[in-house]
Formats: sequence, structure tokens, C-alpha cells
Amino acid sequence: VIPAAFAYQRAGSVAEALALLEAPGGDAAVLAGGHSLLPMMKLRRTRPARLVDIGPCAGELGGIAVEGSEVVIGALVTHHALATSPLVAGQVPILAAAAALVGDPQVRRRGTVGGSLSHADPAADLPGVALALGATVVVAGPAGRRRVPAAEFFVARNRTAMAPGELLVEVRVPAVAGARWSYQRLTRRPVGGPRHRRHGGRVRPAGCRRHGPTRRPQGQPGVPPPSRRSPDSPGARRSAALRARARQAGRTASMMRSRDPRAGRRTCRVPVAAGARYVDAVNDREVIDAFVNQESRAAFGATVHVEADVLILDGWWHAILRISPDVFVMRNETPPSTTTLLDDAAAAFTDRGLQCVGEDHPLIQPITYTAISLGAASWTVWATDAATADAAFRVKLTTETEFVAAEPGVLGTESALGFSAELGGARRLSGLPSSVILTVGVETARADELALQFPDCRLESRSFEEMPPEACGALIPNLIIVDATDQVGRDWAMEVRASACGRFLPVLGVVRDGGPPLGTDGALEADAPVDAWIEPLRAMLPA
Amino acid sequence: VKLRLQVNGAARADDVEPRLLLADYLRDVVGLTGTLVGCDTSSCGACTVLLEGRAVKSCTVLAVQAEGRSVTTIEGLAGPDRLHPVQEAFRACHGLQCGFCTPGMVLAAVSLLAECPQPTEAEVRRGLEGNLCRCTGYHNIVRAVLAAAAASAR
Repeated sequence: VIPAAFAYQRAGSVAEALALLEAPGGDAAVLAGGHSLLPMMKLRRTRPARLVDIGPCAGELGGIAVEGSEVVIGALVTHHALATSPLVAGQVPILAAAAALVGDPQVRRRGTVGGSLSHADPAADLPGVALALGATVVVAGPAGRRRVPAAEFFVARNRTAMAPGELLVEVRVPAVAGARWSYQRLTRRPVGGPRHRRHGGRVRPAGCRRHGPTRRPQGQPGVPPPSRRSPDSPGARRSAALRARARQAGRTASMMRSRDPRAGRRTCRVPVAAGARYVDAVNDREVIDAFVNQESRAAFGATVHVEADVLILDGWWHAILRISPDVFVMRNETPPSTTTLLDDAAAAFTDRGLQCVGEDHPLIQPITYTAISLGAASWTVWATDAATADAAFRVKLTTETEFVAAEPGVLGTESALGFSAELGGARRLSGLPSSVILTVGVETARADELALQFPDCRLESRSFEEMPPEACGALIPNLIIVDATDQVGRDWAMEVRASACGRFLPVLGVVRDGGPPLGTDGALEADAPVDAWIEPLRAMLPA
Repeated sequence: VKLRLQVNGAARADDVEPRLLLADYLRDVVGLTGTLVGCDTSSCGACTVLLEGRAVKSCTVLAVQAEGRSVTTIEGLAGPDRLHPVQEAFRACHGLQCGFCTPGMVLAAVSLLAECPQPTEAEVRRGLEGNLCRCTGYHNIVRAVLAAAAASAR
């Protein structure tokens, strides 16, 4: 996947970086290690017009030093440097421990403290620790430097108190040598293996993994842990206490460094507490309400979030899809989880005047498979009535699902959609041609010649204007030929790699004396006779 | 943008687009296809190369970020007609099956051993946590890295 085009500027000093950020030429993003920014740019979630690379400022921003009662960490200090610095290990051991858990060794060598803090990902390690420690972020701007307490620096997910044109230059962390501390990270990301684990006869999700430098014992061996359903169990009381503490911590960040009378030393609370407040900016009920009633396409709660038309619960494996503003499908919960989120969602549907109009419909599986790769599951349909739901499913399939758009009418009978959980299977069942060759920007005469040579394939010929790179999925091509004799075509070839349909498809570039253009899998000589194209094309087509 | 850097010891100067990733630069411009692109999201480690001797994931580094630096790919780890001790150990210990993850694994291991010449098994496993093997041949990979460490101690 290739980021959208941008202008690249290198800054040799902070002063130069600030001048470049202020310069005209469109919105600028700061590039340091790039391990938060580049993935976002590759996914096209962000498309800055310019990148200002502060990598060369390492001399100015790459240091770790003690100043009075604070440890001052430059923005370009990498996670690796933080994790291995004897100074940090001695003065702020929790920070070293958290940094050692970021990503993996390669990521830690490139990713920087400044980048992680400015990216403000609630799931990242350093923002939570910065909050827990009551750190201060130092930001440089055209008007000079200012200090922002961490509690004010993080505004929302991926949003900070920095204005455009400002640059994070350092973070100042109170030295807490000798403090008692613990860093626990909980991740909802499935970490492989079965997603359910039997525990004392009860089933509960195993997607939660706890790891960190210190582990709390999980109970006696052989004795099942108390159920999470019981409000009186020690586990429930402990998490209720933790949640209460998190709420309080949110109001008073300074509490995180309260004095512990027994130890006579300052104590750091677990950053999970601070992180919870950070994440809790919008709670789960508000997210459900935004999704059901306000057609929200992005919202983030403690255990649910919305991405476009999907509300994802409890990690990845429960979800609600919005088919249209008043038609929803909700994945049936088997086995039941301990949350009431699906009940809350059902209540929200009822409040909107929607009702459950049945479980499953032949079109749900292709839709959900395409949307979130969850095909083989049962779903509850919520709509004003069954006919509305049926109509919405058909619209969704014909407009948004790749394998039906090519031929109207292939929705056909129910048996034709006996969905095999694979798009390839679906295509065979619905009777589409076995191979589609898409040519983009190729002369019509040449395309016609090709069509004669490939009678068993369907040839689709389009101009660049007709076929923007992200739109070709609707044709379900097996092979793309793009005229790459000029920059327009070469750009198109790069762009198609970033779109869902182009990522795994062979793309051939038509060139005049040259090798394959970037992003393509092969070259076809523009002035060669059509016979010379046949063999390379055949080689790229599925058998 | 003009890019000057060293690839496997040889100085190069190329005109590249700023958005070109280091992995694509190495594969498509320099022609060193030993650097593989697996997940393209800095998860799998197949694209690992050494930047100034330290392992990085080249699918999440812009080529222009390597300006003035030295890059080592699997092709440049040893000469054309011999194997690096880590490669030798991978061969001896059957540290590969399909081979897709191997260049990244080897380079990550080289970087690990540069920092920690005599790692424990646990340290090897942690040190390679950024590299995925879909054949799940991790046991032999870990053995290979430990064998390479032992060989260098002799």
C-alpha cells in the first residue's frame, strides 16, 4: 500500500522545522520515526500535503537528561532508547517498562516518544503512562515554547492540544525513583488461539490478555476464578474499585502521585486507571445512541467503537451493521457475553420504532462477509418491517458488494446465493464470467484486438476519467492493464494498489521501452503487436 | 527527490518519489528482491532490513528517511558465495520451511545478536517477536539463533 503523494521537506533544526510548518503549500505533518504516521498515511486515513521530516534534528531532540526533579526526554528519543536507558530505568522505571512493551524490537527502534504522544492513540502505551505520571509536554510554536500538562494535552482519540504549526519538542516527567509501581496492559486484540476458553464450566472470551513486568496471580491452580457475573466476587469488586478510581483520577491527575503513608514514598497508580478516563471520553451507551440514532460513522467508547457502518463490540467478534439508516443487523451472541451491550442496542432500536423482523436472510451473509469478514454466523434483523429490510439488503448488495454489481439480476434465486463463505465461490454460484480483464486508458482499437484474442474472458475497457482507481472493484477484474506511458497512468497504477480491489490483483503497465512501472507486476510494450501481449496476459490469468 | 545512501556497501544515488517506501525502493528500484513484503503493515517483519546495522521494518520507512544511511539487505549480509554465520545456522538447524519469513528472521536475529551476543532462549523469542512465521517453525528458528550465538562464542 502506498501513501498518497506529498511534498517532502527535511528540517535540520527545530527553528527550521517551525519555519517549514508555517510555510505555504498546504497542511503539513511532522515525520519523525513514522511508525504512527506512515501506517495512517498508507491506509489513507490521513493525507497531508507536506511532510516535514525532523529526523535530522536528532542532535537537538534526541537526548535524555535530569533537570532538578524532572527527567527531560527529547521528542526524537526512540522507544528502544527509553527502554534501555539506565537513567530512565533509575528515575522513572515505569516508563522504561512501558516503552519495552511497545510494538516489537524493529518498531521500538524507529518509533519515537514525541510521535507516540502526538499521535494520541488511547491504545498506545506512552500516553497512559504520561497521564499517570503527571508529565508535562513541551510544545514549540511560532510564538515560542509552552508547557502543557499531559491531562490537558490529550483532547480526544488522535487529537491533542497542539495547534497546526506547533511541534512537540520534549516531555518532562517527574523523577519518581524508589516509587512503587506496576504497569499492566490489557489488550482486546485477539492474540491467536481460540477466542473462548472454558473456565470452571463457564465460557468467557479469551481475547483479553494481561501482560507486563509484574503479573498478579490469577487465583489458585485448579480453583476456577470467581465468575465475572457476580457483583460480589472479589474480581468484580476490584474492577469496580478500579473504575471508580479511574473516574476520580480523571478529575485529579495529581492524585496519581499521592503519597503512600506506608511506604513513605510517592506512589504511581496503575496507568490503566488513567487510561480508562482517557478512553471513557465517550461512554458505550453514547456510542450506541450515536450509531443508532444519529447515523454516526465514527465514535469510540470504552468497549465499543464505530467504524463507518459497523459498530464493533467486545473486541472483534460481535458487531452490528447498519444496512441503511433504519435497517440494522446484529450478530447473535453465542455464547452470551457478560456485557449488556447487545441488550442496550436492542433497546435503542425499539426506542426508534424498529422491531426484530427475523433471524437471518439469504443476503446477510454476503453483506457481512464483505463488510467485516464474518459470514458464517447468525444475525438478527432490526427494521420497521420485513419488506423494508429486504429492500435495504438488495440496495446494499447492488451498490456496495463487489461481486453482484457487474450484472444486474444475478441476485437471482436463493439457491444461487447459497453462499460458500468465499467470494470466489459466490462468483461461481452466481454465474459470472470466469475472468474479467480490465483495461484502463488503453486505446479502444487495442482493447478490441485483445477481446478477440481472449474469447473466454470478458474485456472491460475504460478511460482514466471513467475508472478512478478505487472504483474498479465493482467490475471484479481478475487482471488490470493500465496505460502507463505517461505520469497519469503511472500514478493510477500506484493508486490502485492502495484500493481494496487492486491490492491482490495482477496489474500490467503498458510502457514504451522500460521495465514494469512501480506498483505493477509486469510491463507490456505499447508498440508491440497484440500477439506479443497474449502470453504475458495468459500467464497472469487464473487457470 | 534525490536520494543518496549505501545499499550493501555500495553508494547509490537515485531520483525517487517521496512516498516511495524503503521496501519498494529496495525491490523495485535497486532490484534486491530478497526483501519481501508480507503484511505491509509493520506486523509480520518479512520486510526487515538493517538500517545502520539495526533491524527496521522497511515497509514503514520512507526511502528518503534513509538519506545518507547504510542499508543492509539479506543479499548483502555475506558475500555472494558464502553464508553469514546466522544463515549457516538457519540451514544447519532447519530454521526455515517455506522461506518467506527467512530474510526478515535472519536480519532480525543478526540485529539481536549484535546487541546481545549470548541471548537466552527467552531473549531470542522476545527479540524475534516482530517477525511472524506462518509455517510456525519458531522452535527451529530459535534453535538456529542460539546455535549461531554459540558458534560465535567459540
